Order: sequence, then structure tokens, then C-alpha cells
Amino acid sequence: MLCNELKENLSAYLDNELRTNQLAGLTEHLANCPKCRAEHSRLIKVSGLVQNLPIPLSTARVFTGVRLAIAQEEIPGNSLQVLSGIFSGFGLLTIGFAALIVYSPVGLELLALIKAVARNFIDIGALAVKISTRISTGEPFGFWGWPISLSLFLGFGLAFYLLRKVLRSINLRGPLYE
Amino acid sequence: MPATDRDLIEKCQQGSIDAFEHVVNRYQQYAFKIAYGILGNVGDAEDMVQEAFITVHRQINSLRKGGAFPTWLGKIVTNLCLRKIQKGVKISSIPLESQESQQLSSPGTDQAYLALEAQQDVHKALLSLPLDLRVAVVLRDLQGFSYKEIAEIAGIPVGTVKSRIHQARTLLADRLSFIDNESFTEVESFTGDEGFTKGERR
Repeated sequence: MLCNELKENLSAYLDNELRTNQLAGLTEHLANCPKCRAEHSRLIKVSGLVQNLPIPLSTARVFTGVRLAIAQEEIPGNSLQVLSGIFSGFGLLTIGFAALIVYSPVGLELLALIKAVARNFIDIGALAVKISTRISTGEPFGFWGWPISLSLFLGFGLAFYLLRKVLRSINLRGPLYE
Repeated sequence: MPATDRDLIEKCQQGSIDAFEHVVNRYQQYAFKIAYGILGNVGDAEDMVQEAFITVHRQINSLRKGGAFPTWLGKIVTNLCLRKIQKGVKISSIPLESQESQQLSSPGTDQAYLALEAQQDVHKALLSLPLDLRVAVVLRDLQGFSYKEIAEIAGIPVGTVKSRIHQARTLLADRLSFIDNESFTEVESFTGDEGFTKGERR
């Protein structure tokens, strides 16, 4: 065996990282080659020196620092992440709707629909406020008060829905409420 | 009976801060040894250890069940140190920090002086190695990882680990001319003072 070929394996040999078939050949070669034996001995010394290198003791209060860093990171980080998530969500929705309105062949209808939905929500909100105010002020509803209120509420909703349908069928190309 | 790594990691994964404190205390010096070996500076090494444990806390749930925590931590520390060096951290040219200087200034035998000089030379030679070779030899000789573990940590084939360790040792041997002196065995037998640990294998 050539010394140069074997030398490559000397470190793995002293680290016990050679395969069995390589091990036998190298052990035999080392027994007969003073040059490789000397190189092996140098590598052992170097490895020993690095292993025995004094390492200072780490006296830092790592856990305290880690805990502080985690605490600082978590609170503002989380709320920031949530906020940025909300904003980017809204931003994407807005851009998406704007693109639909501008580029879609039914863009105007979509705009009208959004307006209608928004107005519906406002009306529903106003009604809810009125009802809750009446309930909280304790005005007597009487025996028929509740079913009448509920029927009226549902009736209004149904009427609104039908009205919208009729209006849409009459004026398909223009905004509904303009 | 002290809790096993596996128990502690499982508790950490369930969110136990006490278990995490145990893990930090158990592995602080271990992580420090790797960081110090690569960076050669106590302050930077401690910063990296802290960063490493913050990463551990963040990613503890990604450690698969039964996965080897020491190897995983070694990988985190090594990667952080490499990133720090790539960002341009200045590698310490004064090895072994102030504690050693105190030792050098105190009265002692010639043998002790020789030993300290030798240790400084070894440290300097280690820090002068190309980064990939330094990482390989630090993980092997300072921390005692197997070639397979080093391959996992560094993300390279085992054959490359073998070659890097051999190149690193050969370069060190060439740069440390005193190992060929007859007096070398006396220097080698010197053991350090308090405040230091030896780079013993795990």
C-alpha cells in the first residue's frame, strides 16, 4: 500500500472511524512503516492538544437572558404579527375587489352589490341598536310584542330582499341606489 | 434521580419553562465550548449560546420525538457562529482571555509557562485554520462528536468530514512545530487551573 493513500486515513484511524476492511490494512502498514508511524504520532499529539485546550467556564446567566429575550419578543412580536396579518388581509381584499370592479365585465354590478350589502349592514345595525335600546329601557312588549317584532323584522328582511331582486331585474346596468 | 433529556424535552414541548431552565443549565457549557472553539472569544461565544437557546425555545416542537438534542443544539450553535463570522465578526487574536493573562503574570514554574505558551499557540493555530476545517476539528476534538454527527451538523457527507478533520490536524501539526520537540511530553502533561474546563470528549 502507498503511504500517501494511507495517510488520508490516519485521522479516521485514530478516531476509530475506519471500516473494518480499511482498519486491518492500515494497522499492518503502520507496524512496518516508521514514516507513517511518526505522522500518526504527530496527529495523536495534535488531537490531544486540542482536546486539552482549556475552555473558560461560561458564567453568563444565559437562562435569564433567554427568558427576557423570549418575553420581549413574544408580546410585541405577536401583536405586531396579528396587526400586520389583519392589515395585509384587508389590503389584499381591497386590491382584489378593486381589480374585480375595474377589470371584470360585471364590475359595475359588483360595485353596486357591495354598496347594497354595506347599506344592508348599516340598516341591520341601526335596527339592532333600536331593538336593544327598547329592550334595555324595559319598555313593555306585552304578550304579542315579541312575535310581532320578530315577524316585522323578518318581513322587512324579506321585503328588502324581494325589492332588491326586482330592482336588479329592472336596472341591470346601473347602480341600484343612485 | 435527574430527569433524562427526553423527559425534559417532552416537558419543554408541552411548554414547561422549568424544564427549559434545566435544559439551559445542563447544556450551557456544552454549547459554549462549541461557540468558543469556533469564535475564540468569550463574549461572542456567550452571545451565541444565548441566541442558540432562544432558537431552541422557538423551535423545540420541530425536534422529532427521540431526536438527539445535543446534536441538534450543536447544529444550531454552529450555524449561528458561522452566520456571525459571515457577517464579519472579528476573530479574537488574543486567545484564552483575561484569566490566562492572570495566570501568566503569577509566579510559576518554567514548565507552567511553557504549557501556557503551548496552549496559546494551539489556540492561535486553531483560530487560524480555514473556517470549514476549524468547525470540523472543534466538533471532533473539543466536543467529541462522531463523524456521522459532524456530517449531520455541518450538512456535508461523512467522507468530507473525514477529509476536513485530517487536513485540519495536518495543518495544526505543521504550524505547531514544538510537537516535534523532545520536551513536548512535559508540556502536554500540564493541567489548567480553576475557571477552565478541559476540552474533554462527551
